[in-house]
Amino acid sequence: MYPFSHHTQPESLITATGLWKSFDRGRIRVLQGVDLRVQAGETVALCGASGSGKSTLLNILGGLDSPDEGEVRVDNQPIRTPAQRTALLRHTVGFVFQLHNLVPDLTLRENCLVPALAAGRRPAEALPRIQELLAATGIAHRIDRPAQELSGGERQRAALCRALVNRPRLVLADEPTGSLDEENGARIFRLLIDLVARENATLILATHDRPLAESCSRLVLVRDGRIVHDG
Amino acid sequence: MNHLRLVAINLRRHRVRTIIGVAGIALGVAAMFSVVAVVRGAIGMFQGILAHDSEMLVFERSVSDLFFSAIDDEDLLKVRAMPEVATALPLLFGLVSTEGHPVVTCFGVSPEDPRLDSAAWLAGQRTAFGSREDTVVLGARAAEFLEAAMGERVRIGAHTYEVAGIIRTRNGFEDGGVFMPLPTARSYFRREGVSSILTIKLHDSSAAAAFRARVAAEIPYLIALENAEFNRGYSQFKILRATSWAVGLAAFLLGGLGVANTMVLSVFVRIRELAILKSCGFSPRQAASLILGEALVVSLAGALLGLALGFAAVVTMEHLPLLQGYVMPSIEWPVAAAAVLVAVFTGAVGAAWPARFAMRIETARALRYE
Repeated sequence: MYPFSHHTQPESLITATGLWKSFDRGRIRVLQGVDLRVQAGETVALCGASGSGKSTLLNILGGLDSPDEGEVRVDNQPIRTPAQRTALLRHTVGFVFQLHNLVPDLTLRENCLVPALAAGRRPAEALPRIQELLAATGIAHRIDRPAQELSGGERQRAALCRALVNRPRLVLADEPTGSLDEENGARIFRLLIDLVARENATLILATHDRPLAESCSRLVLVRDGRIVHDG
Repeated sequence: MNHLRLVAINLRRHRVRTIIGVAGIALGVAAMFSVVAVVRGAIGMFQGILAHDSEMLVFERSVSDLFFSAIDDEDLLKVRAMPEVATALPLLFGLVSTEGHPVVTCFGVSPEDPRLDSAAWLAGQRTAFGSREDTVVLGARAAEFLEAAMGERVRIGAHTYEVAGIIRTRNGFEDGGVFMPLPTARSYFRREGVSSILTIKLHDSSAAAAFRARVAAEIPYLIALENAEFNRGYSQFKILRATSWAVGLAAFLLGGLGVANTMVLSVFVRIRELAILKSCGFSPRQAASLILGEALVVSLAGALLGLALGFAAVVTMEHLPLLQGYVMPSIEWPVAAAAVLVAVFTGAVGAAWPARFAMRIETARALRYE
């Protein structure tokens, strides 16, 4: 288990303490007392079988869900209320999902504008950043196409761009290559690692792909809702 | 892109549902607007009959309908003798049915009645009115639907009369009515020596209170009211107004349920999409504002369409020969504005629960929905 101590470790970007989470009125225990501490600049792979609890952990860390027990702190500030979770999603966290989760009727540009809009930024202000990210991911020429017209790889690149629009310090990626073929998956993963490094962001990645996980600076193994290895 | 764009995209994406929502509100607004316009027009016309070149009305106290009011000639003379009164003219109302026309309004008036002066005489002589008791003057629309011309005999109910004149007035009831010399009307309706109301013109309009008090003291079974006061208090007008608003509001309620249904479906089919927006930082309030925004756009579009439909409906009714000119709608912009406001309010109320649902979507759980 990851050795967690406020006194011996340097300041963390995100700290989870004693996270418990269950579904179906407590019948399905997904997280059972998880402690995790991540420093700024780390690339952490959460590895485990399907149903091990890594996605739930990622959701709780990013403010998409709340724990039944335990606490998440970002920059040592507790994230407890819905308003705090919304602020976290707007300013600190960018999510990349397995199924890209783009809004199909919006164009690529509009999908990328969604986080900016949520954060109260004007489109004109956010557009240069979006163009820069689209250029970096090689899909700038598709900017005015509806998301539903993009290929699988392009959609995942678009999701990557959208996650980075508000310059988050923490990128949470849940099986980002899970819906792609091996070749496309490897490309997207490389792109994700490169972009996160370029943005000086921290990455926590949930995957059951061991080779991808080993490319990260730290590997955390999750089994039955508990962290069984961290290193 | 802004919130409006997101609202527009969703409305466009579900065109059929949007059209149904707009149509629901539009029909509600059209119903409310046209019913209120027609009823207010009818009330206005009736008020016009009562208040023609007069300031006050005298009628029998405690009658619910002026058609049942009876003032005998003895009291007419007493009123005429009161110092505040310049003129007191009797008016007798009656309804008859003729073949193909179940309701024809008859007005028994004295020869000096001012409405005969202000009307345009299309045929006949103003000065000849009342000179013969077996004659009538027809309003222009009445002449049309009774298919009667000057000098011909026309059947009014059980009797026939000679047409001694055809007049055009601005009042739909009068234009579709039959003017009889007062004695003729009294005889026809078997109300000898009786009038329905007296229309009063005062020497000095500031003497209204004194006149009212004098009537109450000297002829306690009659009541004198200023025209505006009568308009406010007459129970038939109150009933008509209340009915028209009730019908309109019921139509709105149905429209509101339509919007609620549209919005509930709109939320349920895109729970995942709303969760995506929330995962990108949309607050619960921003998610709700999208739903409310859609409802407001639907309501506003419905309200404007409804006004256009309502306007078209009342104009059509006004010119429909079948309605004999009895419909002279009163199109008032405050009513139109009220209809739009009620529509928007209805839309907002209809969207309240779906918006609340959108606020409470659990993001992580909703993202797992297929």
